[in-house]
Amino acid sequence: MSELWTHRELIRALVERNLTMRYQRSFLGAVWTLLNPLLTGLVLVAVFSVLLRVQTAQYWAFLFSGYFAWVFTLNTLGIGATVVSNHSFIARSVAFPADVLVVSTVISRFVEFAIEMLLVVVVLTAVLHQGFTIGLVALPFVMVLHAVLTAGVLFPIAALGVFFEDVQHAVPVALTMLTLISPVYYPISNLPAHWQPIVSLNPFAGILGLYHATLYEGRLPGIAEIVTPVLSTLVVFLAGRWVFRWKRSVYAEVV
Amino acid sequence: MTALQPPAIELVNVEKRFFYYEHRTTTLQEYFVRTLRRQAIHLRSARYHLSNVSLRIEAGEAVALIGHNGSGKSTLLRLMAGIYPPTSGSISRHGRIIPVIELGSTFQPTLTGRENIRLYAAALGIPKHEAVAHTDSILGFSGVEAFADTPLKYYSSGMKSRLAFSIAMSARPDVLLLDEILAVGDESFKLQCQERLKAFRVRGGTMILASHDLESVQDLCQRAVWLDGGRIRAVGTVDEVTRQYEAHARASWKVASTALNTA
Repeated sequence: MSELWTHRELIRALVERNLTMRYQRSFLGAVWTLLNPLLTGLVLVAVFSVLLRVQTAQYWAFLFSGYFAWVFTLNTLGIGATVVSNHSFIARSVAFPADVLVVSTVISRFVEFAIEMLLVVVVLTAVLHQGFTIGLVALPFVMVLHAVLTAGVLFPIAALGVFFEDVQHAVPVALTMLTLISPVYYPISNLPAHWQPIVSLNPFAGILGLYHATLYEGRLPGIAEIVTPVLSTLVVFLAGRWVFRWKRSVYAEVV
Repeated sequence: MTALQPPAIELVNVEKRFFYYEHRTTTLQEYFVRTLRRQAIHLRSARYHLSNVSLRIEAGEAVALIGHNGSGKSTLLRLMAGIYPPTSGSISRHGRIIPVIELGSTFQPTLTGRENIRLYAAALGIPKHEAVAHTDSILGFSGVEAFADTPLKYYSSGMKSRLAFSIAMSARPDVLLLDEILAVGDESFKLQCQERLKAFRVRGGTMILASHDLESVQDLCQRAVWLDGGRIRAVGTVDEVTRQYEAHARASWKVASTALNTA
């Protein structure tokens, strides 16, 4: 951690660079950050509430509370394999711990996600709950936990991506499979009882459950709901970082 | 410079091995197939770019690294900077070490000059407010004010090198690691560089300069290290070592040209 603190200026500059490159050069600029989820949200509502008619009560709101969070994970992991090689220009001329690249990637996406989440909160508070809910108090904690878990999975993807070219093609396939077994489009309670514990092994399932609790149901999550995601996040993060650091010192030579 | 001061950089028995690949496995798929078939993952041979390098650079010293292309100068600088880990041996460092290595590819081509200054400065640990405050003087010294908001891909290689050098100098280095900095710019930039490096030396800065420009090396450095095939061939005063190196270069040129003439 102290290592990251020492290089906080670089992390900050990389985050600013990522956001500049994404938004400053586009015509709509930062408006796009809000317009994108707004349009996506409308399509989701149209398809699932009007056309498909899913049984879950207020299904659009259920979808809203987990969908954008999941897209944050998809976007972050989707570019994971090239995180190190995209920075070869700086990694080959200055010495710094490569963890900085993973952390700054997650933070960049997290900033966009947080802006989207603001919109989600406003819509759900105004339309679904018609007032402030206690669940919002826990939301920042859930989001940070989610970001740490995503970083934990990003670490090994980034490490493999340094040495193997096909990782970047394998990741989207794996993410599609992960989406199907994650409770994004359906609540885990809709699954047959004997499937539920298996799907819960996916560490993202617990996190998505927390989003559903805080945003959709508008309540504080219970201790039992928190313990598993916190523990699995810690395990995934530490294991992922360990894998990343295993060959970290040679990244500059390889990329 | 007191004897009690720790050396700026000290290398003890440093070796650096690189692999040359006859076949390199670059996909996970092939990795698994080869593992299942119990084949070797890579076909490669090790080559030492540096072997048995022990060198102590005192704080406040100016040391030149000379040697042919491929003799290990840049690799040695990268090891000193901590960009590459040594294969064996140990390296200790004291003070703020700022490398100016691989000029020109240090920057992101799609970002503007200003944005690249911010990024490179941050990589060297300069806080944002300081980088912003220095931006104008960096652009001024590099002579690229007119291109401050132009993407780097439109810069000439000379402009990029000047920019890299200026940013590094503004990073308050204790130890500067310079790779061929004098070879890239035009004559006026070279003079400006030398002037700034001399001022840096007067303030007590340590400098390690890899260069083929023996005249500048003699002007800027006191001591020289001659690298040959990854080994230290000679260490001594700059005049002594450059004389040996030149004599050797001339002799090997004679051998080569005789061979060419008889062939």
